[in-house]
Amino acid sequence: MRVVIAGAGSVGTFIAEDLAKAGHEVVIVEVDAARVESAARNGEATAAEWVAADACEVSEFARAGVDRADVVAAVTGDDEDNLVISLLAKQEFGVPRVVARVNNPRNEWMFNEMWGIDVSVSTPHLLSALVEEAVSVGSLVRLLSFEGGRARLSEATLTDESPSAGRDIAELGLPRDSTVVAIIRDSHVIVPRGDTVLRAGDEVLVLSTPEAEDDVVSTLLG
Amino acid sequence: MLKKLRTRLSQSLEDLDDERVTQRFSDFGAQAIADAPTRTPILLAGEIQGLQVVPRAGSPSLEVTIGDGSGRAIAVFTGRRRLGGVDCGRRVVVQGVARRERGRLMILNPAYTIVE
Repeated sequence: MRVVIAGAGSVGTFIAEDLAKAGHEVVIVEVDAARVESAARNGEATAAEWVAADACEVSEFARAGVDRADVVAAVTGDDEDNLVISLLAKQEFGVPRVVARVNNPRNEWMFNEMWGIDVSVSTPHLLSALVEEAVSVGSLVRLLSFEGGRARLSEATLTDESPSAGRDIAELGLPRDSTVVAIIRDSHVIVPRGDTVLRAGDEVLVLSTPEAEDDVVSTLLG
Repeated sequence: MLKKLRTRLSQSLEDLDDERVTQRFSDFGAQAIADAPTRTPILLAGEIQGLQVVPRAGSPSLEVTIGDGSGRAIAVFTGRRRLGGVDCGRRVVVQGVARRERGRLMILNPAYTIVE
């Protein structure tokens, strides 16, 4: 895949190296020419192609070959820039998948389809979800949302009191717009089937729509 | 002559309509929608065949279906409920970059000119 990353901060450089290692064709776009030079001197992310250009400017952004990119990741430290880059990628270059970084969680509501963004990543929200996931037993924790919030991946840790413990998935009668995608038990991943019996202590990963979430909670956790 | 009449009589209404629309737009130097490339700037000319306000991520978007007889494209105007002068039956020329989404040719926020 051809991936164009806008912003050569620590986030951009890291994912560029990571993706290049995985065999993808990676381009880094950075507005600060001095930063591009210093990266070349220090041998940072050498597997990626570096382009000194302003990704917020259509003609300059085009120099990075965005019209051939499969994915654009807008990961600068500035939310306004990330929004502009995402919209340009979608509107001017028809990029199939646009990923944007949310720096200030207060701006997250704007990071959606209206700005051409397919997936937004907010580090503070991810951190709070992971912390919550570590400390909460017996409640549903939202891990990720897809399709602009129309589907969510959530996790529930079952306790002895959970009504679903000791029953198989088929007889639970989960709502239509939800599905159990995996069960983590004793650090093993179990692929769920209708006859898989849930136990106390299981971490159940559920994919559902926001509307079905309440039913999922009452079915799994009571 | 007779042959022409026979084809005209035996053609389906849809084919006749497509033919009419194609003739209406043959003089714009625009690309035919059916073979318009994606991910490169294009110019399409066509007749507005449908208007729909669709919620996208909680805000309204105006989806304008444009047909030129060879096919259909959808121009999406985000954050709009309507655009002055953009009504069914009007001739428009739109310029933008298209992509395929669920089998439809979509152009996001194109530049548009109302021709008549």
